[in-house]
Amino acid sequence: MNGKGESNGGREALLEFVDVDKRFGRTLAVSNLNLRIGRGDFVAIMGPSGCGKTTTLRMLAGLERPTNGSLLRDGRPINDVPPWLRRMPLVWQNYALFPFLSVIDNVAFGLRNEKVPKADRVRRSMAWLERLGISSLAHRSPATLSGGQAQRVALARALVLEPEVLLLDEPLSALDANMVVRMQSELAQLQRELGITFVYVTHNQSEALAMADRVVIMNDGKVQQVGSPLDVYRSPDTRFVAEFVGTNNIMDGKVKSVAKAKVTVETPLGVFASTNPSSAAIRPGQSVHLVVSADMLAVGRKRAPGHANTVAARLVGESFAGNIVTLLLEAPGGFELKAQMQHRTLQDLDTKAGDEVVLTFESGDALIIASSPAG
Amino acid sequence: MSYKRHVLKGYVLLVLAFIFAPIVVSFVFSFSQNRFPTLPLSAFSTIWYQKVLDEPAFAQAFGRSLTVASFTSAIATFIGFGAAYVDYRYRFFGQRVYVAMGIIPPMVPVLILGVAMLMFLSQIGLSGALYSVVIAHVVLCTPFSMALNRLRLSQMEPNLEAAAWNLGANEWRTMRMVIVPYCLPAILASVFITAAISFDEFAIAWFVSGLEETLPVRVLNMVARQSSPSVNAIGSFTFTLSLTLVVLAQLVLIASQRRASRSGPGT
Repeated sequence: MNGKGESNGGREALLEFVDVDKRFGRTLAVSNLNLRIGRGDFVAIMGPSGCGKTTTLRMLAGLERPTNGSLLRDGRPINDVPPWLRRMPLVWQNYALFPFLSVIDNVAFGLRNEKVPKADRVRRSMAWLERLGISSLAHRSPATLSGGQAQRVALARALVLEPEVLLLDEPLSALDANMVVRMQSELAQLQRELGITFVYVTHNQSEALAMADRVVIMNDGKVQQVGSPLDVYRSPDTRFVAEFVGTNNIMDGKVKSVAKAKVTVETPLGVFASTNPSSAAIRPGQSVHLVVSADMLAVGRKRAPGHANTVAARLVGESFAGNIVTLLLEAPGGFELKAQMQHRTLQDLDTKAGDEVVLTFESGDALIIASSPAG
Repeated sequence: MSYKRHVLKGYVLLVLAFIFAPIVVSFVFSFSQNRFPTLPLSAFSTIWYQKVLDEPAFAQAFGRSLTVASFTSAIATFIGFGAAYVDYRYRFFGQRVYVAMGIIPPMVPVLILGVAMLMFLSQIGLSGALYSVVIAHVVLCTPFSMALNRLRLSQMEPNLEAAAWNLGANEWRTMRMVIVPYCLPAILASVFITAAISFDEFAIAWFVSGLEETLPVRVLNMVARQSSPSVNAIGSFTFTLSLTLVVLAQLVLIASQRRASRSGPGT
């Protein structure tokens, strides 16, 4: 269950950041980045805006040069290789299509730079337009395309080069919700079929978790955690990851006792037991965060006898997203908690706002994260 | 509301009439047979145009003006585009000063610019020739070209150039295949506008041209001595030429604006 960053699925490293810093003036945009990207991986780099994810992508594309450290491709440094020699096409957030070229000329642009004969590049470009279902747009001007169409053109323009690595910078952020879901599954399918390494930057956790096989979570220029989507979702390494990924309840506390596989933690809401410490080195007296995912918090009307981890709370509100409902609860002292469940379960429970309820969670579902000195 | 609008319309028409009346008068009398501008008009005639064509001094002056305008517009557009691109692409110490210096010349009164140019060019031994006028006009016209190209570049999607690099085009190739095609409307407009400015310009040319009189200088030297309806003919002709250039520039710009304003991706 432990999602420490260095594990890499055993795949050979295609791209590697070694101790990379990137400064802009006095701001440190990326700090001490160490990251391996395997051949054929679908890696999502995720974090809030300003976390350094786009800078990381631009360094891969050669549009930014690392201030310190080196960027390796197949083990060789590529810090000084200019962008036009890298063959790592980027799909831009705003597509960046050439407005004075037709769709097909946009797609053929890269092949033209590689001096592919005209007949050949038209044939190959057309093949990609067909594959993405937009061959009827070949002679249109980019200004006349919808967002979804422009997105496909941008994708075709990159993929026609048959690259080893495709870089994607928030490619779905300008599309409407239905289109996002459709493009997500198309992208994931394309990546599997082509076996190309995808490096995908997004601030949207559902995109990253749905498509990627490895997720890199960044904050403040630093990598917080690297792991499979399930790893970062179920076993966050840091408080930041626990807050950023999924819907988690985080209680600060102190370790009271450590038995063989059982740790008890004293928090403002009571003393709770956990059999799921994120690291073996938990000692009594240490400051920790106790993390319980919202969907692991059971809501009941009465106190269950003999249950170790119980909190009394008042129901404040509820919000629906499809058939999942999120309950907003307030524990004594104004501490806010969230619980998620199927809509059906809520109906059986028959509660309304203002009702007193009892929350319970299994000690196996309570994760303990050591507080970092910084936060 | 409609009453107010009518008043406003009338006012605008009045202002335009006031501005264009002298030009219209000049147009009308350039086709009048009579030597003096009198009403009622005498018979229609192209005699004054004929006279201008028969006078070699005018033909020469016209040729010089055309030469100066062509060289000026080519050089000023080239420098103006380059200056605008440097400002767009790079961040450097003193960038504001650099842009300000590029913009200042048209704000300097032309007489001062003319005298300064004369002094400077004669000091370095470049005055009194046709190329002196070209040099001075390039100084005057480059800011217009720079302004047009800066405006165009500011409308460019910020990642467009990087997108071309990313797809394997080096910097020169990107310049040729992306930046220049994108700026083409501004470049064409700049060619027309700077040609029109140079063709019409009198004061600076008067100072630095020496014996190589351009058309406006020739006209002034003529009216200083005598008044001839030939002036009307020349005036009508040069006005039409300048107006055509300016209208062409406007058409190019409007066409490119229209294309850009159609809902584009990412805007």
